[in-house]
Amino acid sequence: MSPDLIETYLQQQQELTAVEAFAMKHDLKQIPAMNFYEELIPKSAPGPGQQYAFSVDLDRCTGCKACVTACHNENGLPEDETWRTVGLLYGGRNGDSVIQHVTSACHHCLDPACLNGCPVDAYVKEKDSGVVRHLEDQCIGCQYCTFTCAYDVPKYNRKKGIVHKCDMCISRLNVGEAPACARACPNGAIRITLVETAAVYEHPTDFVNIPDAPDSHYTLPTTRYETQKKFPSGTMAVDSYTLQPEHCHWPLVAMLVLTQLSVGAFAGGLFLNRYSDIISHPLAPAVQALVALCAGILAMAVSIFHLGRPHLAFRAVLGLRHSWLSREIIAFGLFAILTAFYALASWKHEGGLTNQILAIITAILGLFGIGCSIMVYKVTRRPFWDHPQTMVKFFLTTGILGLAAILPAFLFFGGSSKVGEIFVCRLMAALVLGKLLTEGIFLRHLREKEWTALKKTAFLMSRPLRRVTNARFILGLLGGVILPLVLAAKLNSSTTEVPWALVAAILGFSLIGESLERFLFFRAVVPLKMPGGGLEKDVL
Amino acid sequence: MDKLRDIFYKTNGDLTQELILEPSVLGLGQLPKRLMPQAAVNLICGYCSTGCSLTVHLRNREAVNLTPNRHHPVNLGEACPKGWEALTPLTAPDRAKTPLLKDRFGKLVAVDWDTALKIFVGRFKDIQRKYGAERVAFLSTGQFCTEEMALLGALAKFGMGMVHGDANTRQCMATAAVAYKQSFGFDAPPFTYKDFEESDVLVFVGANPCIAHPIMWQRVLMNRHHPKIVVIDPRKTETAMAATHHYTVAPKSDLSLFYGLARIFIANGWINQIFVERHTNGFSEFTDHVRQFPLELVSAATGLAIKEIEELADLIHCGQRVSFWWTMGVNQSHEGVRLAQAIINLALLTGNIGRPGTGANSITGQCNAMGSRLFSNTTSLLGGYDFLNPEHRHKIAEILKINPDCIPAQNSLSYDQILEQIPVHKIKGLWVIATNPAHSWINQHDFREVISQLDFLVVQDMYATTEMAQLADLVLPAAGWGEKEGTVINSERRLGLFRKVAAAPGVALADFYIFKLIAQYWGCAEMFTDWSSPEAVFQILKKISRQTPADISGIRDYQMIEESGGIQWPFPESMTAEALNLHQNSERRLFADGKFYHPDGKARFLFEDIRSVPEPPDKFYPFVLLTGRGTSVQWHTQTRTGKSAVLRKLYPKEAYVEINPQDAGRLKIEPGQWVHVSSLRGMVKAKAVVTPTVKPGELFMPMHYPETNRLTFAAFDPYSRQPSYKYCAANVTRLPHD
Repeated sequence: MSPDLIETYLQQQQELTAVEAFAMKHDLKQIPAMNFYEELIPKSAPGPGQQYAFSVDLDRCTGCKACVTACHNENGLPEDETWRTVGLLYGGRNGDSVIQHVTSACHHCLDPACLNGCPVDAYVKEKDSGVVRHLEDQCIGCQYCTFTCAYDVPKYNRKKGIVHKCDMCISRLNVGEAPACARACPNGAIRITLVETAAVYEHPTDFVNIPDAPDSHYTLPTTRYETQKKFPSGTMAVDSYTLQPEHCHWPLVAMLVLTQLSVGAFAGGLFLNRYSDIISHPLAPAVQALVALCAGILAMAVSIFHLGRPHLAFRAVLGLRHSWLSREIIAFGLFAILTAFYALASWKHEGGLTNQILAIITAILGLFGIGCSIMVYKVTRRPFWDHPQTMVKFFLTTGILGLAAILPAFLFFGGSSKVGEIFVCRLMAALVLGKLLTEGIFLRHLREKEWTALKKTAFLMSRPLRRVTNARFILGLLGGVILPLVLAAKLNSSTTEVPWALVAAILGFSLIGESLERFLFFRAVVPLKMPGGGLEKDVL
Repeated sequence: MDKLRDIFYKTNGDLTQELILEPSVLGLGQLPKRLMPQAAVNLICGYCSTGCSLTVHLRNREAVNLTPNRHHPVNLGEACPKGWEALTPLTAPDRAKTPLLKDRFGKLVAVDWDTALKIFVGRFKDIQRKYGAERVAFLSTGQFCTEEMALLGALAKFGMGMVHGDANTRQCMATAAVAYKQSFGFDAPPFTYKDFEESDVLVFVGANPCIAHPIMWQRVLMNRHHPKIVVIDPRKTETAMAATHHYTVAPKSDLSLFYGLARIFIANGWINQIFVERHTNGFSEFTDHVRQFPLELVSAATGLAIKEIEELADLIHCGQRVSFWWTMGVNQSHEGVRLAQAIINLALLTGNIGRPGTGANSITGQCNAMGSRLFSNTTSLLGGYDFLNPEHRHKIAEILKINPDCIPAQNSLSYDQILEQIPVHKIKGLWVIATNPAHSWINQHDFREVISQLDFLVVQDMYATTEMAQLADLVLPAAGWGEKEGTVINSERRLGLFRKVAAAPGVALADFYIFKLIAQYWGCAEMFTDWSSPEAVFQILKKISRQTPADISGIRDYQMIEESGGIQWPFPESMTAEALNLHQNSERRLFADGKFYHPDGKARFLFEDIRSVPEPPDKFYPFVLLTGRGTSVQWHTQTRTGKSAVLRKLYPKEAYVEINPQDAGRLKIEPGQWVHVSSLRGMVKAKAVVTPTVKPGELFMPMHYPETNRLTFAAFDPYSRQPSYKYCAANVTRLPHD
């Protein structure tokens, strides 16, 4: 009897009868006239010189965060994806304190950094509406827009291998419905308004005018925040002190290190071959070029792993006119092709002027590629990347790894004098020492009083990432300074066998040391973003 | 050609289509094509007492998405994030999918229902046989349907012979319930949400609706009378920020403040003499009492300047329609009942009750705390009756067609008293339903110690992973909100419906079915033959309510509730004729006629001397630790809200403590640093949030993190037995980096 009852109840439990009993009628005529919150959107579409923009009444934003969840549901976003965030500011003094929540999504900038950086033109700034739209099917998942956007807007979806972002619910706007976030704010804090683009150009700081928000001059955002109150000085985001290492982006680490090794090996070899009389073996240039070519091909192969949709990598040439990433890719691609030609020509001993010109063009192209690499990171305006040090580091890595990579060839083909090899060793030691000093001096930012982005980076390096930092300096010193000097001493003192193990150690340690430096380059950077909402990340 | 172009530049395709919006056919505006509903059904949200209606989108009869109901008088198309994300916790991987029994090694292993029910009955009957029927007790919830509460209460007390049972509503609403009962003669929050819109002065005491009840705040902002909004709270909360006036009283000094305010009103003659004379008792005694609260004393107690207190009195006096609103800052206090009554007194003596935009209004906590207060059969007999009154017992027995002797002739112990009886072996078996006291009960150190001494602990919950379920000998898997039917009652006394829009996982069953099965296995099923379905129980509850202040006998059935956007009690049969006009009549408040529920029809002025706080700060624990809601995306112990990836993004992951910059500077605590917070009960790790919104000498920790109740001090209001969560002595010390 009882087990039967259990079965009966289990069956009833699984029956879904709400539809029959109570579902809303399908017949449209049965549905009362609906208000789609038209009062929250402009009565007309933007005219010339205008565009749609979010407008937030901060005095009505009480931090309920309904906008975030409404955007998620009404746009059918993947489970853990959100296009809107709510930050929290604290400020003032006892008795006159301020707590302010700040809702934000895409600011639909006049000069969108996502669009400018995109190598495949997967972003469009709509002419009529001003909405910055992302084309999902065009995206190759390079995630560069997640670096360039100053507001942490594009969200990378690992499963799909592309980014998504807020489009201001433009398809709703187009039919007179309010965007999900606006319609979901119980307090009516979010509206869509029309802004005069001229006003944004003239007074960028009137937009996204929030303490702790990035400088509006960078991308010319259009969101306006209104409030009756004045933020006391020192008002800051609750997550101002929340520091967490960023993602390491290992394919980019490998790609940067290897392209720089490649260019360094090519240009270094060329310089030493042509303009010094160290090596005279006819095959040396070909072998060096081959080393460069292998490193270059490997770099490009590895960089593919960074793409969410690698099979579409070829699209990356589309952004040549505006994207440093496209330029970097094209430069290194051409560099690899020319290197191959050069290697072939050198192998066949087709020296002569043509080959020499080819070599110089190739080297310049390679160096231009490294310049592009520097620009790729510089334009993000992230203080650690947009820093003279980036240029110093990238070019010194080029020199150091280039020398370390061609050193074996020198030793193999070189004569018995070893003067050249000793010079290479000492040059390398000097470059590494200079680079380590540069990197070490950076840690002085720790002593700054204010928690600037650079201090945060230095803090990240010296606290949570200190093991990596230590390893980087030890390996750098060992592989780039001590061992090369030991090798130089050995080469100087004896004429015995080349200590190949030592040579391999120099290359290996230097490669790892430089990779760790680049690992820190990604991990310790502090991105630009809107004030955060809490302590989502680990506080240190 | 297009194909070739697509290779290089593809503007449309599968990935684009996944995010595409299309017009919906259900009048819901544009919706994701991927989740386009074929039908939709409205149900009341299962979190807080606001009682928002959510329109759940169905595909193949199953819930796929939801939007807040645009036609409901409560939420007018809006919801807070918990509501928007209400479906997500149903599909969490840690749902309890089968009954679980603790094996010899202390591990919970799956068993079938038949086994689980036999063990449930066997173990509890065993205890009752050996030690007496009253040695088994239950602790229930404010989170499920009224019909389930009534069935549980009737089953446990009439069928299984239990005497003692309580619910987690003790932790949130007991104070308001007792205060109303004593002052008005019945537990009757008098307001309707329209009052938020009608007031010209709103006074919020110990309430932060911007975070705790965002959809009620919506109504405040709809107020077109440019109201003065007063917040009385030790912290600068979101609501204090949005208010026109904020008074940062010292924690637990508000009783002095309200007595002091009453003294000013009486001294200045700012009273509604006619109302006081016609409709109240005890005013002259109250007048004598408040003479002890001169301005200087109140100023010293509250930390407010004399000028501020006078300004506050003036604000209230000048208001034509003043409403007072309180929540946990009042209820969770060692003298909460008297404080709530001090607020009620102020409303009475100014005549701010029964008119639009007025009232002494307690905002409720859980979605069905109000149903629990009426029908849980715990503190009062079903329907607000009295266990001690033989007539009441007979009346209920008659309606239920049971032997009156089945009804206990004694009151239940309160929650804290039930727990107290465990170490002295007077309670040996405990049945915990849809609540998580191993996180939420005050002073966890003692709680865990006490629970470990039970002979048999049953936990009935949606999740087998709650702190409480982990302690259980037997776990019964329950269906949750959205997986069952029944009614709930919101803060403004409005009945609404839960609907079944999702299948429960595994063999989880609605609590209603679980209770029915237990009745069957216990051998008292015939007592509940009429209780065949939630709607059948609703018809029984209507009968019980007849001619009580909470009369709902005029509500025909569920369909009527559905069609009218919820119905406020009272709704006696005499009102049925008006039912057709429900939409015009959908906002009703109590006491418009000045008639209260005491036999003489008058309200009472109730008051008492101030009690000192049970654990003042001292040399070793120099801080006052305040607790409360952290964000609007977190619900209580997080058993549900913690399951949504979206909500998890919107609140801090780790426990944190707010501390004033002055204190932080002195103790060399940097923002974001790990600190130790300690009290006499224990020490926990938390992250420091350095903010001037808490005063020097005070700390604030949100209740959602298990750390908080390892520190709280178990003090109780003597009348409501509600725990005083919001005050204990504590210390904070910095932890070295890393």
